[in-house]
Amino acid sequence: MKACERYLNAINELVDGTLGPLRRTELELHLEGCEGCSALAAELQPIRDTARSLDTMPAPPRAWAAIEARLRAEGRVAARPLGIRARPYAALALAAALVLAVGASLFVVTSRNPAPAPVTTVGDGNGNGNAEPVHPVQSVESEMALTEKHFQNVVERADQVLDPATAAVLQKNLLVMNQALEESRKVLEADPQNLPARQSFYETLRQKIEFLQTTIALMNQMRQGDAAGAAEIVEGGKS
Amino acid sequence: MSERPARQMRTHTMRTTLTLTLLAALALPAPVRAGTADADPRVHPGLLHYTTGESLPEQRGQVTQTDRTSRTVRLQTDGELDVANISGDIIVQQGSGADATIEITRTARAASDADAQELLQLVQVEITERPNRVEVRAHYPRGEGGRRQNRRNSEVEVQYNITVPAGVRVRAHSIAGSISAKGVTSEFSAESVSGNVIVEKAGRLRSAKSISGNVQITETSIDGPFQVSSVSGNLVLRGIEAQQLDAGAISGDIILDGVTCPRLKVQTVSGDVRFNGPLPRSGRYELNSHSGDISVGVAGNPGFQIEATSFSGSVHSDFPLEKGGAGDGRPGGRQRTVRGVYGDGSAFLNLTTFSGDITVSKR
Repeated sequence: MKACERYLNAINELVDGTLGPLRRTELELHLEGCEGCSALAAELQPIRDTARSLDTMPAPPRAWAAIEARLRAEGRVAARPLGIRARPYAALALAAALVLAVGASLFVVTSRNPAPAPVTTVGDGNGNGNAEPVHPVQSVESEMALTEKHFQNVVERADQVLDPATAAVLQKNLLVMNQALEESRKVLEADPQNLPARQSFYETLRQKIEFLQTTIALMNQMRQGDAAGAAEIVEGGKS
Repeated sequence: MSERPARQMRTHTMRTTLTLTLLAALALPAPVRAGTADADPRVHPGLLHYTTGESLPEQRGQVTQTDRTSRTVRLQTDGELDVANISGDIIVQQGSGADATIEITRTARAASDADAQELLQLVQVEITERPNRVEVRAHYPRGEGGRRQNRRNSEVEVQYNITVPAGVRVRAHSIAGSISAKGVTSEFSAESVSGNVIVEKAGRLRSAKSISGNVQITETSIDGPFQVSSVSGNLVLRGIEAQQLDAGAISGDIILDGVTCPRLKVQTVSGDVRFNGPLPRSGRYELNSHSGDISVGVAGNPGFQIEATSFSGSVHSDFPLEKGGAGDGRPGGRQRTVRGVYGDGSAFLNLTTFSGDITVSKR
């Protein structure tokens, strides 16, 4: 029990998606052998999921402006390079990081090669506040790239574990989303202010993250049934 | 055990687990008991596409065996019935009595009567009664032994006909079967992976979701937030009154016909969106599609503010708008953006596509 106490914070961080790779590896190994801590982590997960599903209460624009002005006055925020509303993209980046964190925690135990750490956009590591210092689209794109690195294989190889028709549906719709993202991305590269392109990019990303979360939920369950097999598929192992 | 059989076993186990947990991915707490019986590929549920009410398709040289049972369970008016199925339809209706009735029809298909009868026995339905909660689960066997009897093209499905008292919450989840409900006024949610979800004259519908199936809801009044979604299936809602509706699809179309809802959010990637209905005062409508078309037919005598924008599609409005923006609100023109106010401007329409066309018309 004493040994378990030192893992409590790590469990919370794991659920929050903020646990680093080394501590995560250590924790996952502990969870494998500790029913109590494993149960705790399992109980916290739906709480986090529920919290995530709650409706957001958007603050009025002037509130954000006031916060931004205050941070700017304190020198804690870099000038925004583009006029794009950063907040939705930051939220997406966090969501993508969360997807990656949960997904990474899935397979790190069963993999010989630990998954890379989730990259968040909260803070720059130098104590310079928590506003995103880089182009928001690039930021969320990098998160998504990391996420996809792990889960693209899941969908592409879904026919190994799913009914072929359902797997084909997932694969086809992933392509649909990727094509939509590519189209809006090209426009944003030339015109970052383009409203419909931004809207489409944001909404499609949101749907894609939800889509990946669904896939991860499947893999979570798979891990309970066949961890080695799940890891093999996610890592793009032999079929 | 050689590598090949080991991989086959693992794949089968994973497939079984994954098909079951696809329900969990749809936010369903439908824990399926770890199989203690042996797996049998003959009873792999498969993922069939049925319309509700259809039964296992007949195939040449095959026979079917059917077993019907019925069970009555007591539930208080605030009780819950949770039914999860793998292959086969779930049909729910509301009854006038105080008890819930569950009629279970198991159907097996095989090359001979004996085989079909044997298959039938491998699939069992478990009904668990807890305090004011009943869980109904179909258990398909898993494990090593089933592989010893590998025969293809054999199926077992379980169909439920459920009658619940008023006030009993119902949660229905199915992988391959469709879910239908008619006249269920209590809280109801339905999720299917490849089956259709069909709801008529419901009262407190909470969610209706499918991955590849269609979702159809008609003549229903919903008194709380409601989510409806499909990945590739179409969403068709007709004659709906709801306080808050969130509809999403990736490649499926979304058709909202005769829908009265002051808070509507619709999102597709490649599917079309069609909304016909009144715009209540202070209503807010956010309709987005990447490459699909958006069509809004406004009924009654509306007043609204509109912002409609497309990158490469066209935007057209029948309404003469005041305080026009980029599209200067002139009716009849084809343009990329239309902004303005019509009437008292009390509702707000936010319509966006990347390449799809946007049309706002009078109904």
